Amino acid sequence: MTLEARERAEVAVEPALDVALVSIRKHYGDVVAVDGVDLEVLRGEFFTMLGPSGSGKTTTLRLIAGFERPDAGRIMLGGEDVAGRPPYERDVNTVFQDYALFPHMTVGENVAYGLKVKGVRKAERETRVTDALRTVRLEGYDARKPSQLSGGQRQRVALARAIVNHPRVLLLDEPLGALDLKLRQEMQTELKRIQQEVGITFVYVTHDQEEALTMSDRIAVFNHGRVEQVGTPVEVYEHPASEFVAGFVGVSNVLERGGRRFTIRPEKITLESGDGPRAPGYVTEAGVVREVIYVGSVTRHVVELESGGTLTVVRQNTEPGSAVDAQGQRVVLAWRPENTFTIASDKEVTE
Amino acid sequence: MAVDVAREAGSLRGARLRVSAAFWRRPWLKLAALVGPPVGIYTIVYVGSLAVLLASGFWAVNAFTSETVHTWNLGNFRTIFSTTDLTYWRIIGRTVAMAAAVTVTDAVLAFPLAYFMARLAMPRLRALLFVAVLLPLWSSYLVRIYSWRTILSTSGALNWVLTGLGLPAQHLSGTNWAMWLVFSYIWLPFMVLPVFAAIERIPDSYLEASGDLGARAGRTFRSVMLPLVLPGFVAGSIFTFALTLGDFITPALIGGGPGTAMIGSTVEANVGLNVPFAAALTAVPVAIMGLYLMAAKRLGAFEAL
Repeated sequence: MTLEARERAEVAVEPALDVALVSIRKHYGDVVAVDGVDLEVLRGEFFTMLGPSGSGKTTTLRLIAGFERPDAGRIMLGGEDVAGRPPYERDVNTVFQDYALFPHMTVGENVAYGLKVKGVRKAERETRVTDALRTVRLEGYDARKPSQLSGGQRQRVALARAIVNHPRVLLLDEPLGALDLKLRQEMQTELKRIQQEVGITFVYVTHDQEEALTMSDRIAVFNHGRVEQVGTPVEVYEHPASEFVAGFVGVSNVLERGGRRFTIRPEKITLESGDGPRAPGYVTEAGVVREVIYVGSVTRHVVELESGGTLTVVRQNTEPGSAVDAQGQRVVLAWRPENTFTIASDKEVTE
Repeated sequence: MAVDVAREAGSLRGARLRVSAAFWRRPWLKLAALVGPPVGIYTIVYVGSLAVLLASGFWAVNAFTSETVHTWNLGNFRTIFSTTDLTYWRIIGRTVAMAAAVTVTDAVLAFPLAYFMARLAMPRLRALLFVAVLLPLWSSYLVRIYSWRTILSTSGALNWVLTGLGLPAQHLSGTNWAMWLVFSYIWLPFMVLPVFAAIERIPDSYLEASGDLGARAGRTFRSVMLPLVLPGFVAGSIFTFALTLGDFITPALIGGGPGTAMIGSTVEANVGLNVPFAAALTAVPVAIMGLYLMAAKRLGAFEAL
């Protein structure tokens, strides 16, 4: 615990910046994987890099870890440029997508590996391994082999193997990708708890927008090797900066009216079947229901508007049969103008 | 319904359907029909002949008529493991030492090549190297042995090059050194392939994880790479070791000088004279391989499989 206290003391004196990427570029042959990325990650932050596959998020993570070398740019870790240093000289640890547990070592040996390499004495090693395994709730699993564990347990061992070294930054490369939905949701809460417990900065890569929104303090949305937006989950979801962000984080609800392109979230639109009285301060548009998708707690309606464009509307299934479930039915949509956000029309980005 | 119709017709098709239905109802029957013939042949021809071979080691030969005498005795084994005449002890020791030297040489030669093929070479170059490794196996063993004979002979290619470079000529023909060289060459592909497969199976992320946790290249090699490639080395060494133990052509054609007799060539020399003794001597490499595999298992060589 003295270590945590020391870390807290450091927070007070050092600039609270753990990672800073300055104009990072990386290409493979003709493919530009990372195209001028600037990012800043604050100390103790849960920072997520979100984007589709091939958007450059994993390459950026591997650049921070040192598995790849940037073509240009600086990688600052705690104020030092580490771009020219190999992975073993960087104060970061990685949780790999496939966990990368050494199959010929026991759980205990796997977790102790980093400490052993650094020459930490046996007695201290043992306490720290026990502590790390307790943190991930795998006490007493030391003697097992990775092959004897379930996917979720392996994931925890990979996490313990990284946090036992008390790195400045923990890098996580889609660590929950291989788990089933239930376990994934459980591990999301668990990861967040562990991050708060150990107080290490997390840089997390995922393509799952829900995961990003649930866990992160801040999110960077990647597309085509660039960062489209950086912000808190609320900012990114409620105020998407581009059409791509609007579509990737949530449903792409983009309309163009009077030369203004804007987006509106599906749950902010009300759907009425008749021509009933309308609440003041709402914008209304008539349209036809093209698709009805029942998803349990809600029903999604895809509505084609008479003035052009389509919108997705989400309705809570508060009562059985409350959904307007007829395809082809004429409906009226209403929303508050303050819930719409003007977005830059970036043709390059949308394709 | 299709079955009913077929049954009424009583045709060949119906019979076939009944048979396949019977197989479907009794999976063990299908398995027995599938596995039975090969296992039967294997048991009779292979295990059976091995058993006869081993048993005949306990027979003897009439010294005057050269006829085999079918009486159980340990005479052959007493001769081989004699405490007064160490001839056969020396032959066994030399053969095992040769097999070990060839195995170590091939392991050392195979690793860098297999590593390059598995991790660094582009697909085209890799395919080319594969062909280069396998090509010798497509030509006759004897042809390769005879070419080595000419290379190593006193007026052969080796000495031609050596004297051309102003170095003293070597007389390797018939020596243990020549056998070591030729064995190492001949069995090398059998080491390269399993080591290649073992290296190729290691995901990049294992090596990255090791570096990520603070290990330099040397440490990663010792702590991650080698333990995971070990099963490949063991698989390869089973070939190189066993093949060297039993071979009789190379000792006959490349060796042949004083102090070069091996188990294989001694067995071959006895086949015409004393078959029971040859059989008894054959049991020795079989026993050595058994011990070798047990030792490998003890060392944990198969755990990472």
